[in-house]
Amino acid sequence: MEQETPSTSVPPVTPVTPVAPVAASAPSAAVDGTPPALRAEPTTEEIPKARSPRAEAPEAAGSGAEVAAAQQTPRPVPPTLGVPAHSGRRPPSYPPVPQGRPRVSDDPTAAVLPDIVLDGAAYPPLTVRAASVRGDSHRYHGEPRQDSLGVSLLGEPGPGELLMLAVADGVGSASLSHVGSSSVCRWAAWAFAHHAQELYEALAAGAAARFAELATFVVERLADKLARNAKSRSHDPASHATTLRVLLVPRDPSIRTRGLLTVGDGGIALLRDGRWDLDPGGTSEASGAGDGVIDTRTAALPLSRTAETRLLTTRPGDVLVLSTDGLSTPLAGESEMREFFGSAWGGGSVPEPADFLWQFQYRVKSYDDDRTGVVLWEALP
Amino acid sequence: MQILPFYLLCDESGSMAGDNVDALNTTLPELHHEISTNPTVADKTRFCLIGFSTEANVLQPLVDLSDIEEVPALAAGGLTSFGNAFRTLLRCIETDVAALKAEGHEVYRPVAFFMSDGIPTDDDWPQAYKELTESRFCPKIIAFGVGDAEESTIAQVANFRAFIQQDSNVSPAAALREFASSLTRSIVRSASSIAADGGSDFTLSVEETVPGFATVSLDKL
Repeated sequence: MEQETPSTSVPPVTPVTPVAPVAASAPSAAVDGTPPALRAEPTTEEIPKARSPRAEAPEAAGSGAEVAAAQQTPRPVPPTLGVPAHSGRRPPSYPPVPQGRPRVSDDPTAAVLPDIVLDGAAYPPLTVRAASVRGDSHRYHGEPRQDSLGVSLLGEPGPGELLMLAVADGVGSASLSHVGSSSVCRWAAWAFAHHAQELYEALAAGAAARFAELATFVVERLADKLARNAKSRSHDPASHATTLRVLLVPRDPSIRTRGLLTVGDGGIALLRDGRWDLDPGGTSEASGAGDGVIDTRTAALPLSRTAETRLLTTRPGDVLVLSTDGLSTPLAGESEMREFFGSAWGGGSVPEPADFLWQFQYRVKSYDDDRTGVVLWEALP
Repeated sequence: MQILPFYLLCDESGSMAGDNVDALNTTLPELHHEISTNPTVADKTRFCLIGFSTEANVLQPLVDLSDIEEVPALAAGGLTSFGNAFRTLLRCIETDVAALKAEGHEVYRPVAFFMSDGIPTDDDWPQAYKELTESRFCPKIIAFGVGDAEESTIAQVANFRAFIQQDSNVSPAAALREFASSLTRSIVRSASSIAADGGSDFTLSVEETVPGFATVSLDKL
């Protein structure tokens, strides 16, 4: 049955890898001389201790020699992380794994969308981990993931290069929003790349108005393209409705300004010195949460054509989290989740991709929406 | 957590006695099962049952259905006071929402399913209804009229959807079963703020038709 494990029993997530430059450590033979398994399975020395209460990796480092001696044919057991951790008394009642898929004959566009996307990039001192995971509710109903993400490098080789991080959340009530969100993440990379130099110059100069002007120009083009694409398939443009959030980050470490543009809901959060700021550089006061009732309405492309923009100034050591509301909403609402991610991501090191994905799937009952986040670590020099 | 408070208001006046109430009582466990085993609903809804006749009684205070073994039964008798039903609903909503927020939860706009077989016997119910619908956490109300219920009254009670029984072979229990299945389909989805319908704070997907029932137009507003 369900685990009744109190979340406090989840060991803190221990960072494993030093911040970029990430030197791939060559797998070494175990201390006791046990030959590495086929294809250099990591030894117990190299893997983090199992973090999930369910992942009882047999006696980690230390007693390896005894174990080896006790067994005739010692064989390293591949580590497993197991079911993602959860907050509160009970995990969500949904199964924590991918479920049924949309059928090709029902919706060819939905049927080919992956349940989970894991991505990343490293441009020292910047490191990116990104994931988009289909929500429990969409899994349960055999519906596609409507969230999308994008991680792209813009500009010509040289000092003006920009890292573009994007997330998009297809509006739940729009029937083809998965097409809208996945399209807009791809097109955003191409559209912003056209203006990479101007965007870079605006960011380098900290020119908020110029950045806003460029962002608006590109967002209008994206809105037009989304609407045109929908119409060319005889779809109502509103059926492709999607939010979009883009963070543009100069590769040049001497430029500390990052440009954010958003259409619709979602989040940008800053993890600095172990503390969360859920509205960095924001002017709005805490958005009256806790006051009224939950409002799931959002502005969305292509009907909305204007982006809100802001410039953020970061420091080495900062972690920025760009996300859809499937992450930002529970992050704002659940302190246990903030603590969990704070500990997983705020320790000064970047998790390995598989660890990141396990962490990213942290479960909180009642939050069953698609979850997408692009996390940027800015290493200390 | 994000919680959707769901209120079921059932007429248990004298005219419901016999088959109607028996059928509803047979259906309540099915409803309980349907709700508590569907994670989409179970993980974020809380359920409350209010029976009304001359008075209105909270038979099951707002609860996570997976935390209780069974839903209390209805018992028929008395008159049909819509006013008491709406006053009780408003009182419950105000108390429940405040309590949920105090526990740190976010709350969706409550949803109320209202079922009656009769004509209200109190004249001042529109005043109680007005107070309910003008309250801060005014619920989305879906009304089912069965038996002798008047279409115009049912339309007046609903602010979201209204259905009136057409086929007398269809029992109120069928409507309740439909309620259960509507509930399980009532996935809370994000909506575009510039949707054609002007939008509301969340989208409740409830079927526009119910077998054996006619959909009552709410255009009177």
